[in-house]
Amino acid sequence: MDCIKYRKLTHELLDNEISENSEIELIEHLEHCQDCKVYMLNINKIKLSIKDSYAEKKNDINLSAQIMKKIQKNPGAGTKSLKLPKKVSMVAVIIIIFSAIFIAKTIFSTKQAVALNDTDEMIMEHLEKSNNNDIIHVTYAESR
Amino acid sequence: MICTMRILFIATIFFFATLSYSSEVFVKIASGNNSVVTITYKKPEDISSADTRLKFIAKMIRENYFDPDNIARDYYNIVVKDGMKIYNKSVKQFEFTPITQDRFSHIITLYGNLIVRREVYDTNNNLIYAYGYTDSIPDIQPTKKETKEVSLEKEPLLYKGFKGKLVKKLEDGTVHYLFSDGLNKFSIFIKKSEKNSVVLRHVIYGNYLFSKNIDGIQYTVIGTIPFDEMENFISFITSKEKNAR
Repeated sequence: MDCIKYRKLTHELLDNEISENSEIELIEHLEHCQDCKVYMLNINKIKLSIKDSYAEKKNDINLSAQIMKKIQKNPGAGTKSLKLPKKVSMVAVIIIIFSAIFIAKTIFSTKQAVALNDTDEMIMEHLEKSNNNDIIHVTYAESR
Repeated sequence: MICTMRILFIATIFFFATLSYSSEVFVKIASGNNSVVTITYKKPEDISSADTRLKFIAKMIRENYFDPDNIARDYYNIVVKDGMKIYNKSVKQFEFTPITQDRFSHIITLYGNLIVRREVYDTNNNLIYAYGYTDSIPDIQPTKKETKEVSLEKEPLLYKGFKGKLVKKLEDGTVHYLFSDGLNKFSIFIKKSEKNSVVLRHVIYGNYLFSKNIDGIQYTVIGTIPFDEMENFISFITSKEKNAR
């Protein structure tokens, strides 16, 4: 029954929460009690393993160096390449050239069309003034 | 019997009502790219063209009256064919061919002074415009009104048999002269323009058009004379202006 008391003290000892007198008392008991001794060793093992596992999982806050290392290893690995097949590029160039020619032609013909529209008025005026029908009498013969 | 009479009566009314509009006319007008537009109508309002300009041109280009004695005869070879009959009417055909290739040819068929048919050809014998009756010649006779023409110029303008008259003169310097030899006609428009416009040469709406900019003034000639003659005329006008200064 006393072992229960000492097992509690074992925990306190491992947690550094034991008083000096209790520590002396525990140590005297561990000299006589094999079970408590084994119990203490086992608890200590468990505590140590837990401690070790936490130590391994400890994160490295300095990530930039790791990232830079990775980048230097694979500079283009993360970027998307816009390389088109050669044929597609050629077709695109041809389309652009033809579009430019078409646009240039349209602009030129529009200019010409505008020029002709300016002269439309002159043509109408010429026809109107050169027509002699306004100075002509037309007499109708009696219908037979 | 009554029914038959009614039908006859209506038919007679219909006949007389349509008599004055029974003559259909055609108009052919050359445009660029060797194309010719043909329009037929009884009245100009009947022209079902979506192009209102074409409607106007078909109306304006057609003349009823022609006096063969009132042309610059010195510049044409004239051939007259008499005793012809068209649509049961006695007509006379006149063929006017320019002596030098400085104006267009005309073939005019007359019923009195009424133009029954007219064809105009350029110096390359391409049809420029034509018009005439298609099915019958109406019983009409045009006569010229006695009009007193007031000239805005002191001296008459003359150029190779063409008599010129000032049609319009605006404050901004725009001028329109109309020249006619009784058969062929052309207009010159003189306008100030600083734009660097290209030299235009077009066949449009039954006329030749030539436009050129000289020292900031745009000269545009429209009519039935060839392009070379239009350019010669512009040179004539510009030299006259220089001498006048």
